[in-house]
Amino acid sequence: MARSILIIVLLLSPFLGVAQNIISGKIIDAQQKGIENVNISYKGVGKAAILGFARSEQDGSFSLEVKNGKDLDSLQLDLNHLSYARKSIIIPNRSGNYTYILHQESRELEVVNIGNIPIFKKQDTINYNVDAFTSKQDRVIADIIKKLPGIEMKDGEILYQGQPIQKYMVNKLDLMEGQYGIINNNMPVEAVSRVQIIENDQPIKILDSLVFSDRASLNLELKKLTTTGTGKLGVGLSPALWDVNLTPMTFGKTFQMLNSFQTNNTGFDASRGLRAFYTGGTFFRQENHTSGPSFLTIQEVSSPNFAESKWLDNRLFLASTNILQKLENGLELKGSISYYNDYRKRSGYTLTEVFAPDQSILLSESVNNKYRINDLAGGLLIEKNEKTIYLRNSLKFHKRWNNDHGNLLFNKEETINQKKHYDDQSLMNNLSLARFLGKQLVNISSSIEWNRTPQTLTINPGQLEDILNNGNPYDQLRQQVDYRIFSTRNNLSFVRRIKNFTLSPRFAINYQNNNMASTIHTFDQGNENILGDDYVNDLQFQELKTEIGMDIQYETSKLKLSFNLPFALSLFNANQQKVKTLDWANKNSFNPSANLQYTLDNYNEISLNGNHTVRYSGLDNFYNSYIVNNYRSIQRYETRLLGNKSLSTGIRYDYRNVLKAYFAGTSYQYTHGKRDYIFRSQLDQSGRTITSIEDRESNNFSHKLAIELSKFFRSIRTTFKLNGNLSYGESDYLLNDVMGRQKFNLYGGNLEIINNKWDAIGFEYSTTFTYSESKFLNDTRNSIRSNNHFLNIMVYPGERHSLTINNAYYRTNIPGLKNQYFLDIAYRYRIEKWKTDIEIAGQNLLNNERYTQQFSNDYQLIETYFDLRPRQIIVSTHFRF
Amino acid sequence: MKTILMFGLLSGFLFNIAAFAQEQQSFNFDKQAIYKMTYQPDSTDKGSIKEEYMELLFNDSISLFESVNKRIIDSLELQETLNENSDIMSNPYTIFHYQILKQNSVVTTFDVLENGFKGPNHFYYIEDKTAFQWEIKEDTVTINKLLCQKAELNFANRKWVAWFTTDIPISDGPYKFSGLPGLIIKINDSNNFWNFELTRLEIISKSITINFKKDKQPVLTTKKEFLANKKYFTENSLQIREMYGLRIMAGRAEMQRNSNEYFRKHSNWIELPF
Repeated sequence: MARSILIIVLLLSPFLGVAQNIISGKIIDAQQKGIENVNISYKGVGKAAILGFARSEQDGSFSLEVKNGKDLDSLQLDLNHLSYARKSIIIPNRSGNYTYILHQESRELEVVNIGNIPIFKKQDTINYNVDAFTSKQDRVIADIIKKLPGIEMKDGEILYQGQPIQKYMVNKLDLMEGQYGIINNNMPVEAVSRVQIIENDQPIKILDSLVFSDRASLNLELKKLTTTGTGKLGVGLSPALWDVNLTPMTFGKTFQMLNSFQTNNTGFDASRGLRAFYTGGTFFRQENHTSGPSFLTIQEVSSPNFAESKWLDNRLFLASTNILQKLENGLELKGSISYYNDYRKRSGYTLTEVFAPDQSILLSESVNNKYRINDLAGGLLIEKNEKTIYLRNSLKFHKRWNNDHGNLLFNKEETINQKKHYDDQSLMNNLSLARFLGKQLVNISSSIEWNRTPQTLTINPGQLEDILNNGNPYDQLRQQVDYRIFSTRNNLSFVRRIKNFTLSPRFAINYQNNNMASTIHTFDQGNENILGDDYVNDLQFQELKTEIGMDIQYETSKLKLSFNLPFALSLFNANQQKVKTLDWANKNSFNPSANLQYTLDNYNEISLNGNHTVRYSGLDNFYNSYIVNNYRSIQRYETRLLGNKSLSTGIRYDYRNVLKAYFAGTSYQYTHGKRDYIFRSQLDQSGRTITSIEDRESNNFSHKLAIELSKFFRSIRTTFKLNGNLSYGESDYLLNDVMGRQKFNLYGGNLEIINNKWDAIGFEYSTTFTYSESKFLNDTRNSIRSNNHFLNIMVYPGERHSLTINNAYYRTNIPGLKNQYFLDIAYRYRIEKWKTDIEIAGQNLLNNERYTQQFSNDYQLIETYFDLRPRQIIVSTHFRF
Repeated sequence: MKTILMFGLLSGFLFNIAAFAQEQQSFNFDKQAIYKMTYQPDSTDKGSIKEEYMELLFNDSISLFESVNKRIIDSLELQETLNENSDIMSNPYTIFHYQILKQNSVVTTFDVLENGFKGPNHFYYIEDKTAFQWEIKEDTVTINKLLCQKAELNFANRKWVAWFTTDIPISDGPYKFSGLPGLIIKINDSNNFWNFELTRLEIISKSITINFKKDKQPVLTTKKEFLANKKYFTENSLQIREMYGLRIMAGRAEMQRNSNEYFRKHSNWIELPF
């Protein structure tokens, strides 16, 4: 190519008027063969710097244009090639054609060594001296950490070499497990002597050779014991509002403590943030206590499905302490204790339309409830994390006692008082042990739990008189239930990896013993009557379950396949009121499930899932004498195990074109359920229900289709997202001895627009549309339509200021009701000097009083109003101490 | 006649490079040069300077330039595809995933575009060595007993100053720089944002395989498009994660500002997009 151009230029040069000397020729070897890639350079004779250069072509020919050194008479030509001896020739400075022969000579390449290259080591621990990195503006350790090589801080999360760190420790102890932000943003720089980064850290030592880790851990070495902390203080109106939060922390070499004291009545449920213990990662799961069952309720009004802070009327006091102590033998002890007390109020109105086969009943309830919640929890954890053994034992104690008071106005004429007392006490121990036996990892876990839940519901005036008092009205009804449970779950599993397969067989033995006793008392004119047989429960229920299962996983770069194959044999034994209703009845079940994920290429991915489940339940409903659950509902069930069979399959397809910023996905799920029973509801004229179980087969099914599309437009930096879903289903129901089939149709869609074109202002707009239609027995259709709009605007008038405006517009199809519009505004100002900010937040500025909702279930259409928090303005500040 | 000749030569040229495409290839190198690369990712902050070691491997016909760490990662991963039982315990890390092959008059760059959750996408593009129009200067200096001469170049929106030595008649250098009558010992841009210095040159025997991941075969593109896409992904990383389904409940605006700032602090690439 170059040669062709050169020929053309040469031919044209007389016309171009360029008078350059061209030195051309050929370089050959001893065998007359052309040598390629010889470096040809020219310079002044004996000078050091060259003036120009060229390279020889494949056939050894070259052409050199002498652009510089026109004033020189002679030029020195240097011919240079690694495999040949260097040649220098002196030629006159004019155009000419030369042929040179180079002699082969293997030129020893002199090793050049300038400076040292660091050797890459496995599992490095890198130490950074904090003093060396500190500058005047640095106050907290986060300021130092973000400067360290390899570290990036993205929105408070610490990434090392692109990956999030997996552990944040202080003096090699992990107190907060994952919630390290609170330490990172409050630990003063002066307290830390070194920051250590431990690469490729596998925190569970026994998993070291089984589950590799590409993550790093971070450790702060402190100079000495230090106490520090953060706080928040806020006050507002109306009525008088407060929000206080104080969190001091103490860190020592082997002892660490974090305390928290919070109180607010601004609708923030701080009890959610309480986590007594940390899990040992997802590999070793431990059971968590769930509350004992609640059989009794006071009548509620459904809460809105948006942020709690808009409607939760609370008054919360919370105190908690987390302590960690490391012992000399490597054992870690963690303890925690917490207590909170919350006083909540809820009021609203519900209008229920019940569709019985021959009539439709209308019920109206005005609800005014007060709840007093008390919760005390404590726990102790022992952990030993060594290379050859992993041991973890946690003991937890929990006591919760609530007093709920409900004031109800029924059908605008009758006032009903309800009081519920609920007490839940539990003690639970969880043990996890892991060891290697040969090439497999053996894992044993065992949990034991004792739980007692005494509860009482008192209603005045007495209700359900036709069932409980021969139709005569009476003063007071009291339902008592005492529920106790003892359960133990024991599990043995092995994990083995063979090529691309991970196999884990497991065995489990679980045993459970439930006791439930209930009585109903009626009071009339000072006389107490304890109702007889049909209203007294004395139940003992035992379940022994053995399970054998196999989990198989197969993974390649394109395909991920997993199978879960558990087979269980259960024995049920029950005594109800001294009658043996189940005599170690046995049921077995096989519940396979499978999951497949296949990546076709960079754009397309498909996944399939399927499972078949057989389940025997009924423990909670296993009472065959009446229990009053709330003021207008009384229940009892046949003594039987409830068999549920369900089949579920689905498919999902995703298309992602990241370069074009276009994403699409679609999924379809089919579920089919069969039961060997059906719940039967009986309604009386006032809408009160009696629920029982019938020996009739029932089934249901549903189809669900969903589509998602999203596209990002670069030029306007805006993302558009569109979601649509469509479902159809049918289910059997039994009402007043008539079998019915409910059919429902649901359509929904959602459009979202997120804009970030400018730094100073941004907005998010979204609109949701849903339409649902339910068809009941005699072809009654209920259709509910809703359409909501949300617009959030964020403005940043300057570096330190930020203003957020949230608008929400709810449209309803309830006739006679206005659409609702909510407005919240918040303004924040950052004071750099004190590292704090001040915020003024206004919520519900238009003072909307209530939120209306409408929804339907089996055979009811419910319309509710819920009283919201009134307009409030709060001024708050964060600080550090 | 001339046009037919030109066309024929052009297609021959293209045919040559098409043969050099995305399949798995192995090379044996007998020489290695290690360069210390010092760079400043944030053009406004001298404190952001980082360094990394890069290597230039050559044999008589072709040379490969990549990060030392990338070669280590690749050799571990290649071993894993051959021997499924081995686990990768250690994981050297680099943000430079490119591999630059220089052969005859063609520079082929294999690079990776990090584009969110679904893993990187692999691309390659081709440049001609005639794009490198060196201007030789008179200045000379001696670096580690080697006599080096200065040459200047305008490339990828930067002005570069290189020091090459004819004592080592290898017409190559770090990154894409080559074509001088000697090995480039040192090269940096006029602001000293990017700086390469030779630290070692020796005879070795190494075998390198490129494009060995069957499910990640590189796609041909152009340099202009590649750089434009790279800018697009890093600038809009938050939007792209949102498209994948990331839901940000609160503080989104602050995350956006952090993301913008992050991009600003890492936008001083060696080749600036147009």
